[in-house]
Amino acid sequence: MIAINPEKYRDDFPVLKKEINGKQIVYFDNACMSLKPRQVVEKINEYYNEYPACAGRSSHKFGSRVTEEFEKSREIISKHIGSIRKDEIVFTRNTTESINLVANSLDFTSENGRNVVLTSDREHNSNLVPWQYLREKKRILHKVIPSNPDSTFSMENFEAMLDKTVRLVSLVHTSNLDGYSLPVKEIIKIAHDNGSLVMLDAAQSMPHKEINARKLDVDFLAFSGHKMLGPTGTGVLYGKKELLDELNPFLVGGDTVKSTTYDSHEFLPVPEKFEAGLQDYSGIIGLGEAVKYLDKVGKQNIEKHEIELNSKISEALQSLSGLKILGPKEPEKRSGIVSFTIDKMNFHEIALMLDRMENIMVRSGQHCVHSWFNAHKIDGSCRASLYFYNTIEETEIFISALNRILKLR
Amino acid sequence: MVLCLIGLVIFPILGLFSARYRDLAKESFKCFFRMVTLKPCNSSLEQKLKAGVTSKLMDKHPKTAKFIFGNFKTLLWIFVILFFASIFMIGFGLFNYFAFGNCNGAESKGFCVYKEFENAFARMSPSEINTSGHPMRGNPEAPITIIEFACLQCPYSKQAESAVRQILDDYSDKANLVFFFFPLSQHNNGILAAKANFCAGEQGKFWEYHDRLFDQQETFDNTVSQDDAKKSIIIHAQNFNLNITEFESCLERKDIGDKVLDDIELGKKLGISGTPTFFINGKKYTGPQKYSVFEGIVKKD
Repeated sequence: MIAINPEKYRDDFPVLKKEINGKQIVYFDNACMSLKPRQVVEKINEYYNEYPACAGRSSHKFGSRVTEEFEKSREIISKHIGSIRKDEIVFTRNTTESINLVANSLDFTSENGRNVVLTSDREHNSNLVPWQYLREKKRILHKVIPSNPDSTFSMENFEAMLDKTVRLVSLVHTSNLDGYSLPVKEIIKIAHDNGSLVMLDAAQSMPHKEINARKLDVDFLAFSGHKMLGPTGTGVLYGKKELLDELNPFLVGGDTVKSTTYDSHEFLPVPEKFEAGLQDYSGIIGLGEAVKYLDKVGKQNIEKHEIELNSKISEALQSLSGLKILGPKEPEKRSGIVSFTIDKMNFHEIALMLDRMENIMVRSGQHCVHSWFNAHKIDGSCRASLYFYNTIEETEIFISALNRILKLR
Repeated sequence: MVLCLIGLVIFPILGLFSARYRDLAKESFKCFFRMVTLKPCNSSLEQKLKAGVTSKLMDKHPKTAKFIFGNFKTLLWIFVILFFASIFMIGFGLFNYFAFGNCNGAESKGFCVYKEFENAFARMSPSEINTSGHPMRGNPEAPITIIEFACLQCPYSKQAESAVRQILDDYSDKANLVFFFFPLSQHNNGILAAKANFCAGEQGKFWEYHDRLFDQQETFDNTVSQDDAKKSIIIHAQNFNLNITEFESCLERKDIGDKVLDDIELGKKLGISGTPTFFINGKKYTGPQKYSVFEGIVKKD
């Protein structure tokens, strides 16, 4: 029994009707980029067609309308992640920028000598390189928490490394490597008991899971719009109000200040003090529309549907000799991601052949988690990532194509 | 890496005609550049091609697809070797064409190519050829003179004969022929035949004898010993009731031998690389020419 009927939504995604060489497309690269429903595209166009002006400064009709729509997006998103305060939402370009904002704004010197940042051993480069960079500048110490042998998060290792020097625990919520989600609720509680802050890279979880920032009690939450039906170049940083107030701005200039003199300036309150320069109004308004769409579909339904599809694929793939699925064996622990390798076959070749044979679009490579692949001496993998508009029929096309490819060995 | 070598040559050429190949050309160049700077090639060109070929064949010819997938690297190397061998052959052929007038090379039996390399480049212009005193066929008043250098033992010279004779018949008011001997060293009896033709000429039967030798080339070709060839040459002379004593004595004369050598030397100066070679209005035509070629020239003038 499928949790939702994808056909109900597929009409909203005109690109899914596209045929190449007489065959329908099968888009399984949602962990990289989701498709956009026409409602989002129309909302973006609405800005350019009807009120293409600046927000928050011009008092004319266009200016008022764009300010209204822009702030409405902030409100929609704040409600979506747990009815938090509107001013706890900072717009950025993407998850990477959100993480960099915290990395470069959080004070690692004044909090009783706490200057350690802990990350997991399966972080996307976006939640690894900023910390390595700060370490090179001698502003922090960066430590990596080793996983259990079965690749799950080691609470034991975490607790052992969590001492009074740890200022921030910055973790991926759902890994784009294999779809595995860390037990963040428990991690956050333990970290807070230790007096440490927690930031979650929610780029892969926010599009697929219901996340209530308030209930999770997470301090910072970073995610991107483009993986959750939104436009490219849109991202969000959620931060608790009192923490955001304490942060120094990362980028400064226009729109971040209330007033200036020739030798001084007064910053605006959060979130404006972090949103320097002209914003991507159409993108952010489009992101609000995307979140509205996701609310309509329902995150719980999305998660269930993806697990249903993943179970079907995993069951078929696990019976194929020489094919190895990365991450936990149970599909329900890998959300909508099936990352796999095939003996004696190159992952890029598999992806290219899926594309050439049946227009099946998957990702191949190290998925920006080079550190994990290098540590495990794996060259890369082929990754199919699902979303609510994917169907059982598409999974069957995928399984059939993979079976034929395997016969080439 | 293997494919980059081929791509480096092929894709820029294809890129001239279609933009889709320009990116592939750039990819090949980058890959080649990495290769020569001793860095591993990071191009996915090979994978793209492998996936493209295999997936196309997979449904129609699964066994072929499997074979190609499993042996792609080996097949590529074979292709690379063949490719560069072909490039070399094309280059060699082009050199031969410009140096010797045909693609087969100096040693080729085709088109009866002259084998000496130093003869590759002309040291004399066709306009400087002095035709007086040389055997002429057809109307001496005709405005166009076809100058032919040929070897009586050369099958390609023989092949050219019918077209030459026909054109002289059909356009007697427009063209005549002046003949020079250019016996090739690989033809054992070429010089003997040339001398014999001169000797027949001394008894007034130059063209009759000339035509007979061409028509019965097999009687003195390389399959025949030199003694037997000489016997055949004499038998052909007897057929025209020539004075055989004079004929045989003529064959031994130094001035007759010198006449042949003078023709050869002239041919070398003109850069002749094989027979037959024609000069018409100062332009060189190597190899047996079709009737239509001669006709086109004659009509044009």
